[in-house]
Amino acid sequence: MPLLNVLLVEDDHRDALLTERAFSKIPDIVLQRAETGEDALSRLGRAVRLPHVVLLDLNLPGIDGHTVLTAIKQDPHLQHIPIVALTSSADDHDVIKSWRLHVSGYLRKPIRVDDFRAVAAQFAGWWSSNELGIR
Amino acid sequence: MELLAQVFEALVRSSPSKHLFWHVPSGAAPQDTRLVFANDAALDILGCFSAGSTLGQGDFEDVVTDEGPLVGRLAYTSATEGKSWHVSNQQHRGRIYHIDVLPMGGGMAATILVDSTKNARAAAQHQHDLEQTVYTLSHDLRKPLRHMTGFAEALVEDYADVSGLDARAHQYIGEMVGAAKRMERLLDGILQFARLGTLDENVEVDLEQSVADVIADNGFDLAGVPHSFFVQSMPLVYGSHRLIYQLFGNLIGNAVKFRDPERDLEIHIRAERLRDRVFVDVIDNGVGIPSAFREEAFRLFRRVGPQAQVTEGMGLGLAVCKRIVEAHGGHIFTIGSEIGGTRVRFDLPAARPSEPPCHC
Repeated sequence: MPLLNVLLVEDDHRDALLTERAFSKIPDIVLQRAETGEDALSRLGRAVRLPHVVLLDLNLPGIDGHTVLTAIKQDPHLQHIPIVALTSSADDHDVIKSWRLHVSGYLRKPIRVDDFRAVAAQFAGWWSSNELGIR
Repeated sequence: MELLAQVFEALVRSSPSKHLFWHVPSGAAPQDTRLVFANDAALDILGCFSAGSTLGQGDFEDVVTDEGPLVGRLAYTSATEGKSWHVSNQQHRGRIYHIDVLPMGGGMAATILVDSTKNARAAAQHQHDLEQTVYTLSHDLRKPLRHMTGFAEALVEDYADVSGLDARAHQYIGEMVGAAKRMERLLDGILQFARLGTLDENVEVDLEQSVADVIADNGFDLAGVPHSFFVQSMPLVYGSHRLIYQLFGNLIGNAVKFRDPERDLEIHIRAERLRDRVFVDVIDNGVGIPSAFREEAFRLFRRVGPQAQVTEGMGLGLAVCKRIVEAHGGHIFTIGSEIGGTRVRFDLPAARPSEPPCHC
């Protein structure tokens, strides 16, 4: 059974803890975490196996989420990876609008397993949903 | 006495405040109120009006408010009944005035307008800064709140089995989560409210169309409830479609909420243009807001129930309306309705330019 590799880019340790807990309930998912945008780009740059999907927090310290998003989409090795934006509140919608072109979906924090499943179901081309119990 | 009178006249003439003295002949009607004196500062609000004119003629560029030309009318009641008036924060031609109307005996009254625009602007700036702070704080509070809720729910889910948490522990956690969710709703309300202070657009808005859209889009829980809307033809205004839609939505919603179960609901909406403002009335025949609570009803989070108590709640309806109207430069207030319920009156900028000034 192939493993689903997910890269979580999240600076807040409490949000990360809750997200990791949510994902621990989905079998065969390996969640890796980067705490900053720089860390995320560095991991992606030297990765032997690229993640299948990147969960990207909209609000990051240092280089912001938008910069990370643009960097990934402009890199020929990385631009195929679907990116899911993580939002904390309804009034992130202005930011969401500006990201719409590059983002494959949105998840509102705290992330629920079923919400992730629903969003992931849209990337049907990237892995076999039956194998991973994602409908 | 003669010297005193001369000193007084000199002071009044040169005062930066606008002084207008009126005389009402004994037994005369309001339109016979005569302007007998105006100091230099008052000239710019007189328009074609001049000393000797009566209220009933000419094109008096009066301070216009909800009830129509203010200064002259208050002068009439002051001169005939000896009443004094103080009106704060009256807008007129881009300035803001405090107005005092004082009886002077012998059928005379004085109206004094003091320009308080600078103070008003400082107050407005302060208000804006305060709102920014509230916005930022509310925004920042949401994250720890979300975490609290998240971990409380994780606790319940991960320790759901019997040996973990008993019924009482579940109940406590349930209360925690409930309180956190309540706080989340309050914060959402504050954030939404804070964003209403500025217009997202300033274009011509057809009020009749707005009302029609509001009624068509929303059920207002009126299924099976006998009701009639009476919407008159209304002048065009400048403003935001979205905000004006929300304004009517809230007012109509309130009229429905406070309806009288003993009779069929009637909601009347009409407007008239006065100078460069359009005054809109939303009138219902419901149970009304008791006068003691009318001001309270406009404050954030205060809900006034049909049983006439002031309760905590998400009663943001009228506070939102006030904010929307003020964002359009207007005032809003409620008074008793002639058909028994509530009358809400507010003003918005008129869309077409005022009539040309009179030729004198």
